[in-house]
Amino acid sequence: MRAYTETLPLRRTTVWGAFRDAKIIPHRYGRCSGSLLPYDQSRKVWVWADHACPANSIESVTVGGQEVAFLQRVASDVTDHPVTFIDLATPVDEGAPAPIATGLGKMHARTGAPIHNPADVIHDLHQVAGNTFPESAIDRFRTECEALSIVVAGTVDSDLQLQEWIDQVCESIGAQWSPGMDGFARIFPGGALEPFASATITAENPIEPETLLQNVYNAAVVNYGHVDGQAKQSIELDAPESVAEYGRRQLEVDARWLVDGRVAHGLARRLLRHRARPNRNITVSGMKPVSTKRLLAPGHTVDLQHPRIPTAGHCMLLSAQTDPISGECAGSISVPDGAVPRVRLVRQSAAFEPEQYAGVEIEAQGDQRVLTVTDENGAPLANARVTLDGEWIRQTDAGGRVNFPADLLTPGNHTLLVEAEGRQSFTCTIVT
Amino acid sequence: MSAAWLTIYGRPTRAFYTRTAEGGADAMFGAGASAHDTLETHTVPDHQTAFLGGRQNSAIDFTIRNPDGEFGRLFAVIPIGARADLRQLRDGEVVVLFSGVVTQLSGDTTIEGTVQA
Repeated sequence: MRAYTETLPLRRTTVWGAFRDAKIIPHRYGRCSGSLLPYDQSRKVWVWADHACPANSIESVTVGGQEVAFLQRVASDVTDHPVTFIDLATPVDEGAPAPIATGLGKMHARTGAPIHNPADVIHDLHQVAGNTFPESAIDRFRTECEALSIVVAGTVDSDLQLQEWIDQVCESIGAQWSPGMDGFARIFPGGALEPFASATITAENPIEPETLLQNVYNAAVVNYGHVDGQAKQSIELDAPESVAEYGRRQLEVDARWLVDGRVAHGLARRLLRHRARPNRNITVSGMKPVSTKRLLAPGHTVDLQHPRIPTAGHCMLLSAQTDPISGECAGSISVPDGAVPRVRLVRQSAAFEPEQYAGVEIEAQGDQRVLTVTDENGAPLANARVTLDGEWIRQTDAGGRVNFPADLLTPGNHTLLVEAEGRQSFTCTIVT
Repeated sequence: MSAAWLTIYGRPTRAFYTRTAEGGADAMFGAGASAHDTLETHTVPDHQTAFLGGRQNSAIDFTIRNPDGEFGRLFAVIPIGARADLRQLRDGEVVVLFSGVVTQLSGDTTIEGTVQA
């Protein structure tokens, strides 16, 4: 077993013997692009990944920008380790840049499906580290990513610690993680909260709120689509009213594991909806879990009902220290102040249909759930017909809002069909 | 609330608890773990995310009394790199407070160690 601060035990080309450069043989995930490694002196046999990849999953190989003929095969290397090879018809000139391939990475050991759900990537990184990490330990996160259609792709090819790789994946999609988190990782901000509160914060709990201007960000640039560590695409969103109030305060995210513009848009939108307004970062002590058998942990929902904080309701615990003797917990939360800011698309470096950026937000109001349907510029979609789970139909008001009883939005995934005059209808999955 | 105990899954597995720990040691420490009442202190498990600038690589430090060098004799191999966890009995159920890897051991009459997640 390895601690999260230890580097991943990746193999190097020296295992093949008589090799000049000791380069790391990469592990690849999802649909990604990257340089091939020469396997021998022939310059005709190259290596894509230090593991098997799905048959015929390499889409293209280029040398100096020109597509070349190739054959993909999975075979054992000289150490009897399975490797994905790329054979070229003609050798690459000595001194010429290495060929660049585009294709799929590792397959799931049990299902044989390509690994591109962030939860499965994180699970596999633990496997590479030699750590026992049951797949079920990260089920909740897998489902959350599926519901938001978040897929990742990337290459593990440098001497980083296990935690640094997990950081990269989580930062790319806007997730928080901790080895002590129930479910290991959660989408935050903007992810679904657990439906029940594990503790309530009341006047009895000492609190230390802090709000810093430096934590307000009202423009977000997400760089994504990396090839050999270089971002090839970017997207920019801002919250115009917040920019007018606080001046432009830009957050730049190097999303090394993102390849999808729609997911990049979703990430920037979630970040700005939380951060383009002042946040109370609150340290709380003396929290008592509702069950002594369930320790409070990051990711748990706590119910904020403190007279000194004007915002009340459920929020996610971001850190937790449990004193074994008293059983009490100290922790921290981040609570945005004021209304959710309008967020709009400012710039994108690749063409996508604007409809892809429309979205739905959910808020709890007593026994009702208020859904706000917005277009790609964050503007509410008025008079849109919204069908929940193919059965319950409502019409949005001028603010793009529809109400559904909480009973209809039981915890889990639900499908919404949104139809508005003059635009393409779209379907989205929401998680409650 | 009973005191927590530290189990180090070295060769062999050993559990360390404080003298104030409640009875039922066999049930608490699990099969295969020899238990020793030499655990002096451990820090509070601190689980963080990075959102507010926290560090996810949490760790606990512990001290074990070792006046006659018993700690070294208990393990066939120094348990550096061994899995370890801190557990506690809560309402009749064993709850894991922290788990990780022993990354540091030092000392003489008192052993100081670190378990890192």
